[in-house]
Amino acid sequence: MTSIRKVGVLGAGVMGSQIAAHLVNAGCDVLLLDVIPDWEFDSDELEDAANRNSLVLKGLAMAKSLNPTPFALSEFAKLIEIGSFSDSREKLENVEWNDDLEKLKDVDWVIEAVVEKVDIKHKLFRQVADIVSPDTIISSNTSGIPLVTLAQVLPDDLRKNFLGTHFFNPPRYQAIVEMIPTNETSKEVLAYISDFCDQRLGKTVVIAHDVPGFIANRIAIPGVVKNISAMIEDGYSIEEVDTITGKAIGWPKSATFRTLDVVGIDIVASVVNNLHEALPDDFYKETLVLPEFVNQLVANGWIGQKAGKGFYEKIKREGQKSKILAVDPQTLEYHPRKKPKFKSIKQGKKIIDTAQRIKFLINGEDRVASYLQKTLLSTLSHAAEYVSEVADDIVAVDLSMKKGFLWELGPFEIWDALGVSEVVKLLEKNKQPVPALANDVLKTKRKSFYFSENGTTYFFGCNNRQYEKLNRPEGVIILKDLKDTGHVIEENSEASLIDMRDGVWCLEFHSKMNTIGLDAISMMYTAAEEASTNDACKGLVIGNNGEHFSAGANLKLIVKTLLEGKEDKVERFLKEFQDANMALKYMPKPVVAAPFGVTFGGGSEVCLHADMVCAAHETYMGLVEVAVGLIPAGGGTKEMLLRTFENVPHDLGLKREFDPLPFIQRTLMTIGMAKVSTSAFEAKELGYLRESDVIVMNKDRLIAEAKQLVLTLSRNYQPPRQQSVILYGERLYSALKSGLYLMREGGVIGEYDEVIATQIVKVLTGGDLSEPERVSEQVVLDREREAMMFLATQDQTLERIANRIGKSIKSLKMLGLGLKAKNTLSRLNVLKKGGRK
Amino acid sequence: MNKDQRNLLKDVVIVAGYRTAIGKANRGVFKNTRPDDLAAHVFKGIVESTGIDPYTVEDVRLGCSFPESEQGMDVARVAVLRAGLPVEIPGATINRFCSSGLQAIVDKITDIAVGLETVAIAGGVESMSMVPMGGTRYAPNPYLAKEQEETYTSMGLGAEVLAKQDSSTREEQDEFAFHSHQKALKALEENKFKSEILPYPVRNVSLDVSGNRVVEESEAKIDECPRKDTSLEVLAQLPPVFKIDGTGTVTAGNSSQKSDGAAAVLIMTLDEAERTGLEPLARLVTYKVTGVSPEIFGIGPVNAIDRALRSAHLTMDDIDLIELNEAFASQVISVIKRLKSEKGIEMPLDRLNVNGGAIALGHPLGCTGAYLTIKGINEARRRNSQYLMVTMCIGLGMGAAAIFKLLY
Repeated sequence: MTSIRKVGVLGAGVMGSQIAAHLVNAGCDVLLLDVIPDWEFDSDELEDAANRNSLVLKGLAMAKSLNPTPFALSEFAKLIEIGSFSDSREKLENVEWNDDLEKLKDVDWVIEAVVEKVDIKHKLFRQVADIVSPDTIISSNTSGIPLVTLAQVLPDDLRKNFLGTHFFNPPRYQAIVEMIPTNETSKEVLAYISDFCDQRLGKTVVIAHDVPGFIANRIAIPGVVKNISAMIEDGYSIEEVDTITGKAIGWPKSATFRTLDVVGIDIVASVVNNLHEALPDDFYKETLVLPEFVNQLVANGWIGQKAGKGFYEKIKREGQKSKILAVDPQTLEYHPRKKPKFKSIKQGKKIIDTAQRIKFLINGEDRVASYLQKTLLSTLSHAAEYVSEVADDIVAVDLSMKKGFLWELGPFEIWDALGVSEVVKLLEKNKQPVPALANDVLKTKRKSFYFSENGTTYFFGCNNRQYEKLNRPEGVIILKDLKDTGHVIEENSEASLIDMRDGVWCLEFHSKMNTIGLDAISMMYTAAEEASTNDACKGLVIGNNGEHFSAGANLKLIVKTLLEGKEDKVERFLKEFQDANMALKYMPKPVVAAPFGVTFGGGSEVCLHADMVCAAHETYMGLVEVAVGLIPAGGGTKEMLLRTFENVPHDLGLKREFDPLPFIQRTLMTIGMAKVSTSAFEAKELGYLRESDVIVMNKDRLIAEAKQLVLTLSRNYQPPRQQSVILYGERLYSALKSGLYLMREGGVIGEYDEVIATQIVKVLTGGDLSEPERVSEQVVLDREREAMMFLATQDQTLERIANRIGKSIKSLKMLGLGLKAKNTLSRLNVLKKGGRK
Repeated sequence: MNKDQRNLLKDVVIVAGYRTAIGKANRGVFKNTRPDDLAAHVFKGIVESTGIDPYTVEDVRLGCSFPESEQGMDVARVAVLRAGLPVEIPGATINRFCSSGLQAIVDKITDIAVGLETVAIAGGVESMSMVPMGGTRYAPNPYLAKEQEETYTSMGLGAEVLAKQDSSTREEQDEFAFHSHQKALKALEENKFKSEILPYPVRNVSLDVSGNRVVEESEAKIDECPRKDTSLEVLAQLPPVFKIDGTGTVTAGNSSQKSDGAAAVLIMTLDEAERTGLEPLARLVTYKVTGVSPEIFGIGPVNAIDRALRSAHLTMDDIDLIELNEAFASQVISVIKRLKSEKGIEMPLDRLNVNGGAIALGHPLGCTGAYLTIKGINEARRRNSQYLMVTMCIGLGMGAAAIFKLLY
């Protein structure tokens, strides 16, 4: 089998164009084709390629306009080769132009994403079969047509290379692909394409059976329908259901109805109907019918976000705050959204562990419990009933729910959390069928779907009814596994130092949102010190398996300390953070940071000081301190200044004819506008990452990749030599200040933004120095702190922080209460203004 | 007046004026053409079309607003050499921002008038494509940047200040801009500028997608800035570009267009004109430059116009034609309003920029003063007018106004 370099995507609709985009993100050559709209143009007009390609162009334009964007960098869109084909090749006689379908002979993988009609797909596959080389992999993104039906029209040799690859919308951000082999798909092809989707496209791959709805839709959709019908039957409101089925049970914040609004109620309705049609007659099929009011919404065109209204409607009147309305399922009238107050949900918020929280909620006596007993319970039993029909094992089902629908826990993990025997009892109590699989689990000694022993996890086989070892894919490091097996070197409330074997250690942040507070900083020191002195250690990875790398320095801690009037303490905190970053930068062993997801402020600063960064494709990196009225003062401004002139030859930097202004302007804009990257590629453009930093598509593989980099770097490692920084002084300071004045006058920035930006300019240029000077990093670090402390004591900055952390005045008062700082009260008065916004 | 001085005072006349077409900066026909090449082309054109002996030209003066990089190194002298004119002809560059081209003409007229020279070429040049406003290496005076930060206000923000001070609405400005386009388009249709434009052979070398060298050659002979598709509706849709806080009114549509171009005139004593048989076209009557606060540079012409009229013992009624540079519609409107309220001078709108102004035709900074002089003289002669006024606002807070008397 040849390796995949070029991929052909057929169909430039919502899925096709976005899949093409993500393939470009992954560095593939992509050919995107759609049908020639010969019903719109006469044969003369079809001479013009722009007319022939009009559907593809439209699809690409749509993809470009999407937010969040499917492209890691907007210019990637240009890299997609486009073309078109005729759906009836007999029409092609006597034309001057070529049908671009021929170009498929050069591609290694064809992904079909055309309209969900068997005859159209068959016709297309017949054409494709004539063109492609025999070892081309062919897959369909169908979500509704059995793959075996589609395979029929392919010749024998191509049927071996055919399978379903079901991407979720939006394909860049949904971290899952369902692989659906037919019984003719070769094992090699399945393994190869699974590996490709995993490593190159960054997806979690689950193998699904060729059954209606595959795994994810088959297991989740009946649950969604159940959520809606239970609401109608028992008289809950939309808002109540979303309160119960959101973060409370480990589902995304958008819960049931807001998710449906985003996906599109029409789309969901058609998925439900198709699934209903395709399913064999049984108990579940009967219940798989959407309540009438949902069909009514679709009929009215109120199909969710894209139509402006659905289950919710967002109303924005000029000059007013936007208001959210919710629909009444009985009357179809919209009313202002009411935040339901469930005591149990409120109490549950205190339970950090999701499994424990679900247990608490479902076992209650209130409306929350009775709703969950009807709905979540049904999903659990449904999953256990059908697991062997849809997948090879329960692991695939749990993964599908977690990656495809962003549940924190998969259904079988919830079974275990609640206790299998408890769930069975609840099912019996609610007169719901008890799946045989659950009864079989109860026959074992363990009485759970999963258990862990000596760092190895085992799961209950749904076919052989025996426990099997859960193999972590090679190249995936789960820090928890290491921690469970005694690999912790040091540990405190915010961070740990873990031995990842082979001489590579990991500095893991694990506070809430992985914010960096005193403990995290002290662990940074410990890591630098221990790693430097311990001969067994070859180097350090800074990474974690959390949802985000780090939301930055602990703002609450900073504001609390400021309110206490202990400015010196804040400055000490900054100094310690700076010193920790410098210690890691200059330690005699390599440090590789592994950011992903939110990597803000202090999180970015940690990465900026690393020897190398191994970033997930989805890395949202930014020095965002300005947003809260501060500046990067953990060494971030200093590092950005260093990087601004990193590639300027040493002797050129101080020459008069070298103009640093446009370079420093960029850096000022990046920090001053608190720019955040929408991908790791963009982080390179913004200067947060170096061109040489590594981008890893699959976040799950990040730490293992970073570990490999440490090993590679460690072989010939030389710690960085002391660097010097050029401060360009007055000429640059005046030019930048003059630019800030224009921006403020032009309304681009506000008055206080100018104050903040001026502080950044001072750090970046050194202020009124008469001529450029080379200084040590420490000089710039000291200026960072000075500027930060100036801002931190300004009322407007405190206001911004108060707004950002969303603290009510009351709770801020609580933070400051009992403290004798003389200006605390006046600060709070200012905060009141800010807090009310 | 003593005898010696009287001997020095000469009657000086403009006998010819030519220019290049005005190109759109950054994407127009001259985006890759050097300003020194444009100026050289005009010098050569003047010598060739008038048939004068180049050895009689005693000096060249060229105005330029950002005389650096491609238009640096004393662009006047560079252009003389580039034009292949005798090395004996010297050249000097002068900068008074947007009046530079006019200033150069006045400088040479006065030099000749006091008897220092007999024949000279004067004009202006600017490539806004190659040298951005602010120059290639922006370096404001630190004291001013700190203590008087409005000194370096951008032109657009200055126009916003005036719009606010004189309550000029977006609609007023857009309407002014629209009329400028209409007048310019009409003039273009009537080929009014053809005789003053020296066609320029543009050459552009690039690589095609396969890396082959592509040489494109064309002739630039038409002012390319006016937009045929401009309408009040289109103008109304453009977003303010300088003040984006919702209160802005100045857009790309009601501002002058960044441009590239060169223009120059041939100046000599009346005696020399008679000797060579060249027809005198116009004579300078007066020239005044005045200063105002930098952030309201746009009203610079108000005082300059008033003083020029006084010094010439003329009233606005005597002026047959006015070329008032349209830096911004808001700025022109302010000049009109303040001339009336502060000086009691009524701007005769039917004689103002009759062939359109910089909003439609472009404003190549240092070239503009010379370009407007040539454009104005030609239109005045078509109308058999007597007096022409050329006036403009100037960056950092100045205004200039010249009055020419047409000769027949």
